[in-house]
Amino acid sequence: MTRTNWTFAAFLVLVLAGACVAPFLVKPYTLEILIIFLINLILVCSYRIPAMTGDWSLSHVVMMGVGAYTTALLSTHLDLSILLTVPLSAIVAGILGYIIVLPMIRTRGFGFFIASFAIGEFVRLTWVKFRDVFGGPRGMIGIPNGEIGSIDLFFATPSYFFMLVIAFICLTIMYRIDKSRIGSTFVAIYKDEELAEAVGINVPHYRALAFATGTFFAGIAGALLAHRLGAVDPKGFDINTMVYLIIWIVVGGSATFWGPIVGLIVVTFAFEWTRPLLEWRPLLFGGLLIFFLVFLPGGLESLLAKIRQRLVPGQNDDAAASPGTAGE
Amino acid sequence: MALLEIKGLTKRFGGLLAVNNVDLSIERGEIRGIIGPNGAGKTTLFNLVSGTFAPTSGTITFDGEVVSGKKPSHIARAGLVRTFQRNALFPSYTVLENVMLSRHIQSDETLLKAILGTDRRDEEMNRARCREILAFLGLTPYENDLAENLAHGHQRILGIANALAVEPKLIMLDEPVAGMNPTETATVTDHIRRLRDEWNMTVVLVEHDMRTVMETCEYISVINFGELLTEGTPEQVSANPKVIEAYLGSEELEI
Amino acid sequence: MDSATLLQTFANSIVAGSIYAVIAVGLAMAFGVMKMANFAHGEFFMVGAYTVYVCYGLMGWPFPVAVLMAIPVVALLGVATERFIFRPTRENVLAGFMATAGLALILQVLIGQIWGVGLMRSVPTPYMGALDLGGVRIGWQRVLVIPSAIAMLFALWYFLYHAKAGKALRACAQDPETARLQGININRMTMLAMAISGALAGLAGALMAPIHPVTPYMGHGIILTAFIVVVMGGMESIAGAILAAVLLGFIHTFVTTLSDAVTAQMVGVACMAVVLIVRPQGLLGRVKA
Repeated sequence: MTRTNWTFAAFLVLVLAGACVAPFLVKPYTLEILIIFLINLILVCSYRIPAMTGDWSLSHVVMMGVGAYTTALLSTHLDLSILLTVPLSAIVAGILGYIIVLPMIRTRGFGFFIASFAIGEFVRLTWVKFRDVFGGPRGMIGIPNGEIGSIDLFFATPSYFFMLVIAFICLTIMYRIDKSRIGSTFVAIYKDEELAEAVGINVPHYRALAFATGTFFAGIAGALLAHRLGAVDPKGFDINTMVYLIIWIVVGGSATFWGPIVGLIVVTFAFEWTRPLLEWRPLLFGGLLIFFLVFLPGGLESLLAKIRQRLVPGQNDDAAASPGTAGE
Repeated sequence: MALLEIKGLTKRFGGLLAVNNVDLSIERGEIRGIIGPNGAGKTTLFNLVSGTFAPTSGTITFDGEVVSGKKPSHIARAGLVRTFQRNALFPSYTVLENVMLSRHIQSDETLLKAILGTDRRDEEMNRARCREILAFLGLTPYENDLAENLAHGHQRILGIANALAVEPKLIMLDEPVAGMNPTETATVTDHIRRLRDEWNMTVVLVEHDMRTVMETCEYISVINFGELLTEGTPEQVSANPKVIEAYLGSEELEI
Repeated sequence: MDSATLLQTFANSIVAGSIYAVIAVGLAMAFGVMKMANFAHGEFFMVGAYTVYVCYGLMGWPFPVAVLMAIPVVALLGVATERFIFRPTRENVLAGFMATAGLALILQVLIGQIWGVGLMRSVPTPYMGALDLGGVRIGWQRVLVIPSAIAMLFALWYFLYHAKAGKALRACAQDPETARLQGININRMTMLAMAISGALAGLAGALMAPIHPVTPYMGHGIILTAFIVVVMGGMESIAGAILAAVLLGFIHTFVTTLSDAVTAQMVGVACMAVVLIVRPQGLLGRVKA
């Protein structure tokens, strides 16, 4: 192991240790926020997987909703345990993701963005339309918080640790994908699609794979959210929520694995601090989105990289995978 | 049977007949030149063979498999790999990483392997082979440089290295010496010959520059107005009045 | 469906189609010139409606004057959007699009905080009564939409094909590089395109104000429809946008009458998906070489 690896390992241990003691130090309200934060962590990291190939979608939050609705159906009708609903919801979201991406694959860049908006909206509208199955505009209620053995996840502390374990597993897997050859193949497609095809990369296949992998993890986030909130409704997965996901990514950056995480942390803090602003808050976040896209398109991570380059000249280890803000 | 067999290949763009009923047959171990004046249909022919366009009619058989109408990635998998006229590379990756990325087919990657981390050993073997390719093309001193920081000539050679990483049976080069000075051109023609002599590769060279083709290839096919004008050795072709006329017609005779 | 309902639905389809056309043409125009994809186009529509609410509903100006006021108000908004969002993000279509999503949030909050959220603003109907077509009655306010839309589209066509600035704008849409070499100022053209695009959205909103619930979030429902129309028509094609708008006007209205609004929305989205699969360049779009 190199020195950088040791520093990284030490940092990781520190973060995990902090995460383990946190629930005993914070107020109940803050703990609820931390639980939602862990769910959002899975969501924001999963968004980056298709974005690595250059495919930015507007249907990601809807796919999270697919996970949430699957969990709602499975746990209210079949009474399945949370240990089954979460993976099953992920599989359903992954498969549906693979199906909806097939027509979208013919489009690229902006076209893909709009196509995913429309197809996502189609999926969302089915929840509004089929009242008997999905509860219509008011959604579904009475989803259990889940139990593991005799531990009731209704209580915030066990729920928090459950989410922490799941988030840790998901992030580890996504990190491995990011650093693996498949991750590099995804980025190769973003860098030069024509060259990627020429060296034998089946571009549509890998784009679909990246998309479905992303929706798989979005499905996990949705399942966890449904269990935690106990209710789902179509409004919660609409374009407004999607815009907030975009804000996290844009603020943090999407070139490395850490960008979206940084963005989520910063925006979550900002969101809580500005609670007194009430209805004026969206204005602030709309402004934030414009500010970053216009003045700092690489997000905070590009700022950090610049600072690091200035402090340690000549070091250039993480420069590899860098989709940046997706192009046309 | 020949390695690459093209029969009656035709491509029509609306009313324009870009490639008309072309027959070509390229044997294993050949260095074949395909020349023609600008707008003769060389690039279209190139794009048809590499799978960028589907032909209007005709068949392309590579190594016993009909590949006409197949996607470029499929054709690359079959062992026919192309390079680009532009400097095609993966920016913000180093030279070695570029070649590693291009070795996609040779590295049996799956999501499961990625998650379990069992793809590391294969990657070591891949890396060794990629270093061999870079050494062969004289790019070893630059292996840790970012691809986009290379000089133009080296970027073009990196394009060839990326194609070689696929381990092709046939490599099709699209104007490999365009924009190069005489020294660089000599290096590339040397690489092409060694590819065939030392690595038993079949090379198809689509070139605009007559001199390079004359010096490198044993057999040349001349395309004009989308049709096969003539074929023969460099001596036969350069002595053929029809070829001279074609090039004179476009005022590009550079011999 | 009896003949009276059929006629009624037919008339409503034309009204819907005309308004979709005006909105979508604005969107397509901005996209045609330097690929400006405006997510806040629906909010421009909303601001147009609020202009009428304020000028006519609150201040009591004559209705036509209030409608015309929407032109400078929303055109100015379009120009500002071009200058501060689209120009700095010109090389990245997605960035401009996402940034205008931020602008949409800002406009929703601003309007909502000034004139109230939740409650819908009722704009009194200026033209009472209805046109009677053999037993089928269509409110004059709705009828008015059709000639207004046609007049706007005709004015736009005249401008693009006969005015000097309009010709320059078309040249710029076809090939910005050549246009620039011919001495056309690209920045001025993008600004002009956004001004027209904004004015069209604003006018559409202004006309709809008396017959559409006016809320800060009314742009939401419009933006998806507008993008469906533009994608179906072929992104940059104005004629395509008009064709697709009329088609979608009929599809939406008929499905709404036969089934419900949610189904209509779903059918619209499905139509777009089919166009994307079968003909990704859109109905009247050109294939890029």
